[in-house]
Amino acid sequence: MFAYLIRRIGQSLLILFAMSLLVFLAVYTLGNPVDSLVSPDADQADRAAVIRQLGLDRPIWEQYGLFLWNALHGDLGTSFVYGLPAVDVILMRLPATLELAVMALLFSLAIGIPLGVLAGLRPNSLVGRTIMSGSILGFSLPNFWIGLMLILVFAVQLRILPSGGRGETVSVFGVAWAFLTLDGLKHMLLPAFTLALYKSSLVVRICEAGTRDVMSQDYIRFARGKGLSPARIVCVHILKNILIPVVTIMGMEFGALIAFAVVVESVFAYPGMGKLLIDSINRLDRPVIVAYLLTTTLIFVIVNFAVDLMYAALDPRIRLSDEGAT
Amino acid sequence: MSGAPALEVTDLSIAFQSRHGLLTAVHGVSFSVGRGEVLGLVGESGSGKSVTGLAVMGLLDAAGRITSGSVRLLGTELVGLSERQLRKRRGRDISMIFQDPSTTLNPVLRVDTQIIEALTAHERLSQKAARARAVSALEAVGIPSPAERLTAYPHQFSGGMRQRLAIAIALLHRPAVLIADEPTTALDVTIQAQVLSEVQKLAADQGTGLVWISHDLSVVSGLADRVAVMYAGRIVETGSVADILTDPAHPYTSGLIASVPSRNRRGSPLAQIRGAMPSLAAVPPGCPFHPRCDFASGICARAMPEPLAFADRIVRCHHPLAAAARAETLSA
Amino acid sequence: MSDDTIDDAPLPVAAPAPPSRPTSLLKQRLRDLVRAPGAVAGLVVLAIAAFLAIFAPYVAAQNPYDLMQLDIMDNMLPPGSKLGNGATAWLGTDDQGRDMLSAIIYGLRISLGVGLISVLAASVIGSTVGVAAAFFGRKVDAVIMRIVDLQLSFPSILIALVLLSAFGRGVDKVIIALVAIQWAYYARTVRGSALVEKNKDYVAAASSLELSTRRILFNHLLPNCLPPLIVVATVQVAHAIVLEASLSFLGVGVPVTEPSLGMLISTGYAYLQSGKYWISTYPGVALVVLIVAINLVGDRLRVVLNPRLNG
Repeated sequence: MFAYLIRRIGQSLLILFAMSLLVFLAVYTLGNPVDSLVSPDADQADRAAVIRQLGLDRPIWEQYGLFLWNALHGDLGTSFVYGLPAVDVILMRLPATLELAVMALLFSLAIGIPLGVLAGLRPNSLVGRTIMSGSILGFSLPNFWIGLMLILVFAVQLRILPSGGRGETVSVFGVAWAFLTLDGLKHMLLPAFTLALYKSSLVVRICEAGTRDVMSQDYIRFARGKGLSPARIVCVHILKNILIPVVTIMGMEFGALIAFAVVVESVFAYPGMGKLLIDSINRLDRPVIVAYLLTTTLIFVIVNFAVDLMYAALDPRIRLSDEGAT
Repeated sequence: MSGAPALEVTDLSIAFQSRHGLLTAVHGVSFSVGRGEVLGLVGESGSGKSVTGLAVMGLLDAAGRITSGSVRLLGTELVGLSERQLRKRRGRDISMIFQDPSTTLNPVLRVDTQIIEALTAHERLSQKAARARAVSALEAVGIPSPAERLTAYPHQFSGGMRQRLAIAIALLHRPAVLIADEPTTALDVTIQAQVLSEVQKLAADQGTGLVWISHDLSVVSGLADRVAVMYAGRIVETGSVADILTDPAHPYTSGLIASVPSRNRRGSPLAQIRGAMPSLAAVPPGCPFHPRCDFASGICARAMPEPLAFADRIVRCHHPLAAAARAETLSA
Repeated sequence: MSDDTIDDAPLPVAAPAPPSRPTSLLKQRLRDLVRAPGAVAGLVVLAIAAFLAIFAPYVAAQNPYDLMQLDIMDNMLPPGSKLGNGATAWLGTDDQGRDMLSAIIYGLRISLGVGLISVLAASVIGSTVGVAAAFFGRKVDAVIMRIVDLQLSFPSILIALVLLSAFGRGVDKVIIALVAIQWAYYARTVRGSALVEKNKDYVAAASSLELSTRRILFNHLLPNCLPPLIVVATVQVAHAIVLEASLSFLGVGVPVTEPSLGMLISTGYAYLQSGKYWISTYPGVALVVLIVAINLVGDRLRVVLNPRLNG
């Protein structure tokens, strides 16, 4: 167990290192950083000063070393737009995106698991076929357009939900959360649903396949042979089995939820770090872009790690021993 | 042993919905088992023996259904009962164990969960009482240190131990009938014998009627009181084990006996029945066994032989082998 | 995956020949088609979309990019209105006075074009890499697959955003970004099936004939990896189109001068609050219909080209 943890943490650090290198190369070397770092009005002397100050005149590996050194100290540069450390700017927006992504995750499970299991129990029925066709639709709908249509229906036509923003927040341990207020939840409903739509189709598919597979197993026959109620068979025997792939895949997809929050937050003018990223790209605020990408990578790594642990907790056949760690 | 037999199956037919239309897998099968009695249901794979077992339990999958006939358990008709009513009897009055012990138990649930849910499905009892019952059930099937093993997961048991677990669960409520679908086939030979005698003993002690489904006549011969031989969805011969082994009436039974490896003929080549069991979609006309039969004549390809009863046996053959049966044919 | 289905079976209703019954292949395909009315509908929609995209200048009422043809007086008209020149704008007009129907047909052209070109390029690059990984094995394979895994563990839209924030806008740049995202899918898919194929007899036979490595790779290995590749490619076309639309919506994709469907939706976003729904809605409907059609066909292809799933 201990050896496994050590190795797993080593892997995670390696991924972070690789990402930092890629992000550095992509953001700092593609295009000319000076153009975006220096005001267009600056004269030649100012330019040279900035270049020297930022170390842009040094060899690339030295620049990267400096970047990495500073990053390790939590310094990813200062936002040009906000005049604050880029990491702080990101962290201020992080809670909004996190609560949106978690809410979307819950939505996709709440929608996907019951429908998927139902379709899996009755694969040839009208209900089953309808659900599966519906899941194709869920995969197909571009989620920014769904967001627009939801705004059109619920905010513009019916006027029962807000069209954007985050709403009221409550401060807990110095962090502003919206999910604790009714107004905040109302603001979160449409974006979270939009974000959840694609993932719930994925959950439907996994649950349907899993249920069909489990249903054909002898242990379900045996369980029925014991005289168990259908509720017990579905809720315990089937669900416990299909939760394993669902948890694994949803864990991996949590990263994608945060990434796609970029689109959804833009649609709903939701002040999370995804919207911040788009704003920063449009304003060429590179330190913030870098801070966003590295923060997101860190979240992916942490989530994947957590999923591995959860996976082990759910599947007794897998123990975090050395042979199971590959 | 008086009154109704534990299980009485009469004229049971089972069909499956398939791409080729409705296919009948089992035609008019009849047999009965008394309490404490052992019936061997023998046939090659595809003969319909497992499907018969599942149909009796009411566990056919969605494509299959009973088209006619009756299944009486302790005198109560099961065919036509609602799923809810069937459920009350399953596990309590009738149980089933399966071939592969590695797939019979849910891999992600602890053993105690799987035992206790089977108990509480039919009885109200406290968690403590349930655990005590679970421990004694494991003890009865010979699982060492049962109290500690209770919290383990199925994969932490060996194949033989897993089958014992399944048997323990199946017998929790002392059912009147246990249907055992080749429960020893997947086990090592030495374990096979142990499990076999374990089941036999438990069933006899509890007065449970045993339907032992197997493709292996040698397993059944040491265990069963009566044998029913199935071929292509029909019972082709029934009788007591002794009668059938010493004086088989159906050429198929005789072929099965000849293909059992025997001590007497060590070194001699193993006899085999030529050809293979026909698939459901392509059952030959007449007697379905005729293409593989050494005794087949013209009539065999044209007409399905009627069941012929003699002494306490029944055979379905135009040219029965046993002398008593031939005498019966002549008089008919 | 039976080898004989690849060369002689046209897509997308190719079916593996039934193993025993001597039914003709054509009959089998027709049966497969009728069994999946969704896929038939998908194919019909795709055919129409392709036709509209190719012949857009002849089909559309106006060239929406030709400012001379636009009349600013026609702007923001609801669906069914008469334009200044007497024509009817069945789907309304946008803020520039553009006929939405014409704009959608031209937008379809860009969306489909970006999707197809990026998938074509990515599949060629990706499958070459994938076959190479499978064929050379060991270190080459390990390195390539590490890169592929790393990239696939990262959400595609983020990679696209990083690249486009560095490159700037443009149809060509969007295509490059999409290729950079997608090659990894093909590399993994093709490597997987190439590894299976590699161990089959015909590859051993080809090696023993001392055919050149290149010939074995391209004439023997690659064609047999095609069925899974085709399935992935179909789904990826849809993926690419949606991604391009999302990027354009975010303002980092195609430029305003060459509006794809996503760009048109983006234009309408500003007018949504004032109830001018048609500018965003209809291009979106077109996009959805297109994507659903591709996915329906892809879903059927997955079943037809994978005998393991044929139940």
